[in-house]
Amino acid sequence: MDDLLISTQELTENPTARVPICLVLDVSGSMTGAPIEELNNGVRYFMEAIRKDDIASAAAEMALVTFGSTVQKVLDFGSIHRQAVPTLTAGGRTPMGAAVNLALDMLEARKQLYSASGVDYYQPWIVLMTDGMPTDDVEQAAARACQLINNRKLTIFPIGIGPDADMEFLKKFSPKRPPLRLKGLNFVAFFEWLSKSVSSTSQSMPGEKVTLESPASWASWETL
Amino acid sequence: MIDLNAILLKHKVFVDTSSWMFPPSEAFFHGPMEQALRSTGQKLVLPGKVLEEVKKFLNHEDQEKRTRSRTAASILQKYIDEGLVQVFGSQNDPFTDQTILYVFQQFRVRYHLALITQDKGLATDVYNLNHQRAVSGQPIRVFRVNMHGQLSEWRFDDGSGTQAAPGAAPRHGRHREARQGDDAGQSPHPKKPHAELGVDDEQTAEDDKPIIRFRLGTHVESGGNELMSCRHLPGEGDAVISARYGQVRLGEPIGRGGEGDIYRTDTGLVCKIYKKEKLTQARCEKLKLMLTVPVERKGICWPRDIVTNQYGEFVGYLMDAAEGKPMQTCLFAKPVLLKNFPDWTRANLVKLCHTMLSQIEYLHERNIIIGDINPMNILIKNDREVYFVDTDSYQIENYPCPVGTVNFTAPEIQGKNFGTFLRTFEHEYFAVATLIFMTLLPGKPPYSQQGGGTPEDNIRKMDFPYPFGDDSTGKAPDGPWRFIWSHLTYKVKEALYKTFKENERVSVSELKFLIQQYHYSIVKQWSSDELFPMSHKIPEGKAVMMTCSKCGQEKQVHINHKQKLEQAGKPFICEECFQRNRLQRLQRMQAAAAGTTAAYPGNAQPKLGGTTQAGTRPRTGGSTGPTTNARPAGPTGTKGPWGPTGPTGTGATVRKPNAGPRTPPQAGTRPQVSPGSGAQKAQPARKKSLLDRLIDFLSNI
Repeated sequence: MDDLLISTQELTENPTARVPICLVLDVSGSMTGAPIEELNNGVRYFMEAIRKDDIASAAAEMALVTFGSTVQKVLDFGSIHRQAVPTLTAGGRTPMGAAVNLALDMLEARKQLYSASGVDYYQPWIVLMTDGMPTDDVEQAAARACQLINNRKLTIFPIGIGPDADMEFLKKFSPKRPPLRLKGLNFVAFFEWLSKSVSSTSQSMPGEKVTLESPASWASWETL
Repeated sequence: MIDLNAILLKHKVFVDTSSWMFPPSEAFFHGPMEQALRSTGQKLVLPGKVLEEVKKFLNHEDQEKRTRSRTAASILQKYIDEGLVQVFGSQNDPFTDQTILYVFQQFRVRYHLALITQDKGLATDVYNLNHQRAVSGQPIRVFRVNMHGQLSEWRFDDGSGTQAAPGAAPRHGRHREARQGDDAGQSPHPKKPHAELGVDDEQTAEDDKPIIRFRLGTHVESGGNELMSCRHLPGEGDAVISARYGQVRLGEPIGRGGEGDIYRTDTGLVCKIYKKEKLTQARCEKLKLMLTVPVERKGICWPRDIVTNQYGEFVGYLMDAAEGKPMQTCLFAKPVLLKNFPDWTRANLVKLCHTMLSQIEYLHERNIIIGDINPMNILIKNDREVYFVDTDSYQIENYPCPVGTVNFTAPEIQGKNFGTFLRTFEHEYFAVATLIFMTLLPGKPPYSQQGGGTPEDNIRKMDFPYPFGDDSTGKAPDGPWRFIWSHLTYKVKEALYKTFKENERVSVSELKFLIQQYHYSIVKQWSSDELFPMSHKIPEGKAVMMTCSKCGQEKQVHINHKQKLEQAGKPFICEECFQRNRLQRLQRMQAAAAGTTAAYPGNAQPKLGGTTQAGTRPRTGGSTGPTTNARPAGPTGTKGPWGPTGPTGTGATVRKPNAGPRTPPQAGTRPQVSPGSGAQKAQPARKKSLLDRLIDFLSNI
């Protein structure tokens, strides 16, 4: 796997503390049409925003997992300068559990690589977005995620898209942070917020408090 | 009356150019000095460089310099002819202030040294060598020739001239307690000679004036938090009033912070306008207090005047505009550093440290404590021009600095509410050392380590992971950071180690001196000039060649390492092969765990084996470990091979074939040679160093 060699080179060349972010995105059949189009726009916006920011592009590492007819590792962690903006297509069901498991595994592997290269990393983020409910078993993935979150090793942003998104299931993945519902199809606004958050974090020092902007621009609060 | 004979008999006396060139000293050299030299049979030490400098001035365009140098030259000629001086070195030996400092530093243990100079800065720095705690040596005496042609000792104190600074005041040996207008106890200063020879950037006219300083605070000013009335908060285009500058128009905003916004003005200064909720009585009083002490130093954006709105209500203040980019965003990440400063080498980083330390020293002399030494508030234009902003948050008298940054906060005040107590210089020294560390190892906090806890925990436990002397925790992050650390000079490492591990904090002045030495060491090529050296430093005489058992290449290693491998019967593996091995093993494990990518089955967590062989490091599995950080977006330290409990916890043999050499403690004489970045180079035969020759020289006079 040349990727691994390249990755290691990148880590040696650039020992900046990393902010690993994994996007776990629902591309099931119901996302066809406007939703998937807007999602693509959002992802593109995000990647371009990170690329333009000197510090963020040195610190942020992004991965992308989709779940629809299959669970796919669309982008693995690595320098954003190497990653091409993907075009996602919708179709299939909603194997959320498997997707989250994959994301967690990818994060583990990445953390090992960081450790092996002596590179610091900030607490990883997972952004989990769905417009419906999972069609596979999520218990195990949820338990894994919760354990990490409770040990302060992970942060998950669970986000519901549209009126059919099942917030109860999303809640299982995030014991501390209530899931938010995206306003309409405001993916770009969300990714704008996300890129600013990444920027702030990458400019902070390990352990320092980072104040994230309020998500009010793109989210409507759920009263649960 | 100074007993010149006694001094000559006891000390090796150096005289620098400034004293030879000082007009009143003519009488001194022709008179009392000559007599004393004859009666004691001693000689003065005359660096050859001094002769060259004096000769240069003979043709100077400035008439006064020509006159002085003619006088100096004739004195020197007489001294040389009559054997009253011993000339050391050639005219090409760089005997600058730096060299004098370095030489005095190195030889004070063995010899009694004395210096005659008119240069106050040099005198202070040389005098301060007496206060080094690491090594005690013979007391160094520092003299000058005064207006009356007599030898006079530099005084740094109200009375005795030999005391180190006590308790509360900053430790730099220069702490006249005089407040504004009070001249009691001040010793007379010689007027600076017109010719500034071998002068450091910092020698300015202001050094001659008594320093006006703030009082040290005694208790926290807690009142005055009532909001002041503000009928209109000025913005772009509005006018504000300043007593000193009159009506000032606000231009475009150049910064928006949590406290307020900053605008350009038509005066060339910038103006900070506070948010309405920040306009308290206390803030106004603090600013007024800040205006009572002159802080006129380029690079320190001190308030110049308070401004009011059209109703006469306090709204903000004017200050110098800053230039450059915040350290945090232009220096603290390798790619960003290389982008912003493509020509920089390590010497530039070290110079930058020196510049920052000079600024901080300036502030400390005036009893100003920065408090929150934050790399977002230090702007870098280049390695000589640095701007300190957000000065209104500094600690002045009883007004605390209400903010702090975890990584720069001393262990004993971690977690405390910053607005409720006054910081001390000791707290500040911790922050300063952290700043210097994070500059020399760009962006790397000192306590960041593999398998470590939160920064707060590590600081509290003084868990500093870098090795020094016999102590090697082996927990320092691998790769570039460890290499950079190994290439720092011994004294710099020692000072940082003592500060971060043993809680013995190096003062700003001491650190500044050590940084100067480090810079000199790089210039002389005794230390590596690489920003990111790719290998450990191997001390001179300890390097041997070994052949890698994997790739067959010959590499330079530390002799101790070779011996260890031979004793254990293990083959040598070079760094590159070691890394490749580790990668391949990781690859295999991940491939095994991943299965197919299509339908992802589940949750196989890669288990890490504990096989140890030469060239491997044992690992602990999974993601257990200490709780990392309290805030969601904060980082975790890297989880390293040894896991949370350290080497003993794993039960496996920790083998670190490429951990690199330990820097042995040195007696402090032999300069080091850096072998370069792993490439095999034959060491050229070096001619005797300046120091070696000086040793010979001093032994013979």
